[in-house]
Amino acid sequence: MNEFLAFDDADWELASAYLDNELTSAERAHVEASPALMGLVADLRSMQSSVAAQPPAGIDRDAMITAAIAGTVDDGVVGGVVGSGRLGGELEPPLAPVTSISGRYRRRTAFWKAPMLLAAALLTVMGIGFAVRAGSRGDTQKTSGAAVSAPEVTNVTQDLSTDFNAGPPVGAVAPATTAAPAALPARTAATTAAAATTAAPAATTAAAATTVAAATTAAISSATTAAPAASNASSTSAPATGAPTTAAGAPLPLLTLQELKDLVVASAANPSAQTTLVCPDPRGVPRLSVQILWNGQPAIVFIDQINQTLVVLAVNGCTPVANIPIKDLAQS
Amino acid sequence: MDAFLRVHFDRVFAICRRITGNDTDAADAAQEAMLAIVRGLPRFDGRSSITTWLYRVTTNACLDELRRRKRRPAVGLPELERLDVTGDGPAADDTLADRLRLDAALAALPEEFRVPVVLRDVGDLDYAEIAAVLGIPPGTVRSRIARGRMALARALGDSSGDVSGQGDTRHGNQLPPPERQTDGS
Repeated sequence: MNEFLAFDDADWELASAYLDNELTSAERAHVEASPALMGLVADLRSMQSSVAAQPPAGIDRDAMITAAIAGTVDDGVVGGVVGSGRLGGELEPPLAPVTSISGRYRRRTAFWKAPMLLAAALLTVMGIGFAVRAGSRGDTQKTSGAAVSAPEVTNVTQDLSTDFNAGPPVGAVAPATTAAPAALPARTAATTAAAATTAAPAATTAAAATTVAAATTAAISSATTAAPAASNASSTSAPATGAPTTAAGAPLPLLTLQELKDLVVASAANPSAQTTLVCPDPRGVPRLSVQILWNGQPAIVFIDQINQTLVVLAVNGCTPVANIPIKDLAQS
Repeated sequence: MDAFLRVHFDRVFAICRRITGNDTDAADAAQEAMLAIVRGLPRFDGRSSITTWLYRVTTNACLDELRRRKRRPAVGLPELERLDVTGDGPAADDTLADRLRLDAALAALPEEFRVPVVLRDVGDLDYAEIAAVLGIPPGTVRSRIARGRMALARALGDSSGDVSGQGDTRHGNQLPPPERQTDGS
């Protein structure tokens, strides 16, 4: 039996260090020669096992690791306290601000940045589309605050078609879009009719928001589940003139401003449903694109925010058919 | 980075739990430690081993959490009140009681003893590594671990029995005497 009170500090230290295999050979021999000390070592080993053994913790391991990697503290910050008398060492990094327990797993703001960027890109493309539609209807009425007029659109797109050998300029395509409502599928007819009444102010708003809106060469159609006909267009062979059409010749549905907004919201809420996400970006930046007709062929257009270009891709390939610097499109 | 964190997370959390004494504070400390690791790893200059650096970050996060806890009003039952669950219940209750007794005994240890004991018994660091983490000489590490274990054994023995908290009472309940400076530290 160990009478622990009989051990002095040196005995405890020897037994403890023996347990940790941190003794010299002489010290080790001394301990092993003493049954009492070896008994103390055995008891310390038992206690060591108890300290090391821990029940499973009720924590979300993956969420904590994910949150740490996300590394964004967006809420629940109650202070960035660094206690005095910290352990020494210049290697230690600064500690993160302290967050409340309730906010522990809510550091996911970064995950919303991508949808916001996508929304911004889509709105920019929307502006392009509405500007073209307004111009294609021969609407020469200038509204106050409009950054771009119809003739300017034509001129810009003429330049684009020259620069990129992109075929017929927008001016040749755009007028035909005014005939679209009568031929649209039933589902989109009402929508398009409504869009016709709102296209001009929408274009004005979009143009005011971004001068890029003056530069597009195509009418926007949907590449989402809201526009199944658009996905059929990927089989190509669409006529090279006139309104956006599917491969079968049916007009592609046009989206209202509200529908495009809904698309953005739906895409943000359900990334797996982002049928408009195409051609993975080598930088890993998700891109929300919109399907258009480019020289009469279905294509994808999106804004490359990093390179500040408007990129047009063939709908069945990831090789750009046009890469238009946004600065060349700006009309400011 | 993800793989690195996954490899070390369990031990980081285990250390945090033993140093802070409860899951809630341990989760907070572990999260702060992981954040600090993510942010600091690119600046790690290799002057110490990566595990030494990692445990230093973890230990600092735990000590910061303890300091914050001291400034917060206490919520819930004190640790010692939870020890009253001991009795003649089933084995599961005894196991729970033993665990709570050990938690309480560890929590009652002064930081200067508890941290090296935890780094040794939970983190499995050797004395040199603990010395590097804590910035103290290895001889002081040896002394503090011995005194921490002595205090722990006495606390457990006083409350229930042997040093593992599962036997009869054989020793008193006294904190270790003032630390001997065995290495000139």
